[in-house]
Amino acid sequence: MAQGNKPEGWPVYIRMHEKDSDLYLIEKSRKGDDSAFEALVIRHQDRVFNICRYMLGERDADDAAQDTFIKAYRNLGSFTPSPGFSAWISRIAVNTCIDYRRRPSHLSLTAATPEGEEYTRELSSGAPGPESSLESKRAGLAVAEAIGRLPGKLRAVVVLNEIEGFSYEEVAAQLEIPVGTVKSRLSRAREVLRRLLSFAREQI
Amino acid sequence: MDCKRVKALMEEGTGALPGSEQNALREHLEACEGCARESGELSVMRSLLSAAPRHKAPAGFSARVMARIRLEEEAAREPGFFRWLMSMPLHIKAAEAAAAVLAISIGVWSAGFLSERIAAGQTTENYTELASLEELDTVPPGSMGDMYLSIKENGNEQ
Repeated sequence: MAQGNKPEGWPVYIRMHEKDSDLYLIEKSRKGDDSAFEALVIRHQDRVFNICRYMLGERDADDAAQDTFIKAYRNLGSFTPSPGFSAWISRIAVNTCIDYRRRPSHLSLTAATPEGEEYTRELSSGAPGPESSLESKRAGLAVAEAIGRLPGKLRAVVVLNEIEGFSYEEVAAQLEIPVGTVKSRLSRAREVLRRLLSFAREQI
Repeated sequence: MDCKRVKALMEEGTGALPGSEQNALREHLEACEGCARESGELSVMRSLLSAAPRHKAPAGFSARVMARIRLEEEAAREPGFFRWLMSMPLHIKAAEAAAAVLAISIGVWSAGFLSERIAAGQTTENYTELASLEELDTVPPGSMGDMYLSIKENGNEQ
């Protein structure tokens, strides 16, 4: 069973929330209902996996995403409704990815997976569609590859703000940095991305 | 509206701006070449980033997470020492296994060494020495034992 602390401090309107809301599912999970936690996993797995995929690359993403949910399950007792489950689980995902990146290289498979090769493979294996769709896909994959080449700190703010749509304040809370730092990192990240994408266009 | 305010608005998005500010922003961008260029570059970048693919969790992901959770719950019901042992990180577990193998090897080697010594009779000799009469205390004079020994010695002499 998860941390069994009852959410007694939560306001009444949250305790009586709709039966499909995150908060209702969290409350049930805290009482030991594993199917409620599974519903939470299903609801948020794509977002968590996407964050891990951009932060770590293909091979470690699955393990890191699983670890994220395991940590969330263990720490349900410390969850507070204020940031919301989505922001909370994203924060755990980013921290898990940072831990993965700090691990010794022999424990990580990421080093052996250059992002560029991976995305090139994805593109070449895709079914041919209309020209505009292919161009759009090509552009998207080029951006994804460029994001994969950003330094970790810049990559985290781009993934959380530009890809996942969290506000500056939410990203600041997730990464435990000031809002001003989020903005300056985003600005630097855009500059690096611009250079990387210009270089990629020149190569083509 | 000055360049600083325009830059802040560009970064934060202009969707929720009131009409009057939207107009002021448009006028500034028409007049200021630097801000117009930055705004254009930012729009292109945002458009590119919105085209970045979103990766979905692989099939069976939630089932794998729940299987791991159930495994943890089962381990949590195990006795304390076993749970503590299983909760160790992988490299600690490997060190524990190596230490256990080493301890067992030393035990087996020591047992073999002792049994060789016993077979060679060294230990038996020690016990014989301990049990010899020379190690016993001498009989006190005038005691029953002394009288018995004197009679026995006299009888032997005769």
